Amino acid sequence: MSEQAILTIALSKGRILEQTLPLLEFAGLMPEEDVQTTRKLMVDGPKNWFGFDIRYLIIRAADVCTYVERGAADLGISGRDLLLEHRPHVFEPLDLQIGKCRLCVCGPKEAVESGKSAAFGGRIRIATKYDYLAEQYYREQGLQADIIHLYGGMELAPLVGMADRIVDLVETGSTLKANGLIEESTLFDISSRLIANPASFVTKKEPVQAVIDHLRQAVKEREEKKS
Amino acid sequence: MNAIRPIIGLDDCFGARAKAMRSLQHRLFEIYNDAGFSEVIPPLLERPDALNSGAGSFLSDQTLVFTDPADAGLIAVRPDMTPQIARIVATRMRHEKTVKIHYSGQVMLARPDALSGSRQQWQTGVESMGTAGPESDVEVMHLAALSMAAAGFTSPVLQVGHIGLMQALVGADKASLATWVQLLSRHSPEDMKVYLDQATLPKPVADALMVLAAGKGNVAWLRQVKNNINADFEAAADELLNLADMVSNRLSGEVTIEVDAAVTPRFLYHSGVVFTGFAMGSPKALLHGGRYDKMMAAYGRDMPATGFSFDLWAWLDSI
Repeated sequence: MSEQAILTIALSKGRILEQTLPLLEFAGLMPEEDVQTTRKLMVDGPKNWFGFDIRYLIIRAADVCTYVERGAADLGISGRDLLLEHRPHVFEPLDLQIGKCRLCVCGPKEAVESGKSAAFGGRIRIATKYDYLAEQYYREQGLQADIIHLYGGMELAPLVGMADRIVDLVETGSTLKANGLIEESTLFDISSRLIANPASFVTKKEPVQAVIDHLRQAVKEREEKKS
Repeated sequence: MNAIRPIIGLDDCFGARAKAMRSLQHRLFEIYNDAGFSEVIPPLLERPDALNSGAGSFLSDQTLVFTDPADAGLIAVRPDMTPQIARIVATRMRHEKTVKIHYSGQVMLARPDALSGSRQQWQTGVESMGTAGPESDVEVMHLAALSMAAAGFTSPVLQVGHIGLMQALVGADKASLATWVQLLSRHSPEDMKVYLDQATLPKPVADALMVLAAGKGNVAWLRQVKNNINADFEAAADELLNLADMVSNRLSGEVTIEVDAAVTPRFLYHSGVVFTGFAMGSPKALLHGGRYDKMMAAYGRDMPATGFSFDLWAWLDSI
């Protein structure tokens, strides 16, 4: 393999990256500059790493699976919520055990505690940014859901009577509590995953497998240190 | 103005793209003709029943059906040429003991592909029917390698597996083969472990599925474990290892052969060796193929068969 061969990894700025950087450092894959503060969208990583120069793309979290699915990046780090919602054709070779939270159905405390079906006599109105997952969930319960797509602040929708329930990520539950909502059920446990383009998994097998193995080791070491 | 709006997922082609497509098609036809494969040109339309049985059952929800004024019955646009080829070989070519054919034609899907937004493909393929055994598999894999080279793909790879391995591993489980293949397709060891913790599979089988999910079901691993699982697994592993040896020798320098026990076919009508073609810089699999000895019986002619196919439009976009 020639020295110019490039392995591209898509990352996104923010809290997940903060927890990812120590893993990259352990794996010997540190970007050459501070990706949290740079305004560059493309940052170099180590040279000649298993015969490949590493290149990082700094993009929005929601775009990582698109870049990897279309082969613009060989690897990426994406939340499991986005993978489940958008179902991109990518491999998910490693759970990084970071950004842990849950995708939950939540509703006003009284309504949830009463145990009555919110859809009694009609449709159930769901505020969410996870249209597909919310619809699937209620379809499995035999309910037709009226999906209200919002871009954030789901907790407000039940307060103003626009929705009966919300489907959203819950980490500590403090935002829910502050708005008088409680969890009704958990759909999925969420964390961040390393994802890979299926063709890169074959055509760049050696460096791709090396990134997976090194990061797996990094995750293992960190979990061992914790316990 | 309504009349000139493009139809969802359909596109015109002209100029350089049309020229490139015809020139590639011509090069491929020469390769197939030189190898003794002759062309079959089925019609664009078929009866829905002929398209929806056997190999077609996997795409039946992608079939566009309408009423035929001439025949007063239903008629369908093909979403896949494989059922047509099977019909022709089982009926009009039934007197020929072995059949070597190639085909290239437009197919249309009822709904756009999630990634490309397209509903049209120019399906091109090669099928060798009537001969069992690895010789004909090597022959079609050779043609697959020559096709990728003729199209100008760099560092082509044929990833080779055997559907019998997965069948042997999960055949006794209550979840279907399709469920397991779907789970395996994400190559997530963590998800596989969650699923295995709920299932009741023998430990060697569960361990093997974890190796497959990690993408490490290679030659060395197969040699090491093939005797530890069951007789069907051993038979499939032997067949795969033997074929991999043959193709690696025969196609050395033309294509890289990668054995991976986790390779599964696009549709589950295969019965033996399966393979997928990749090349450096192409983000998706370029071709799918393999052996489907049991599928032809659905068309009334039980005969061994092997082949591969791909979408010429997708190739033009990937080069």
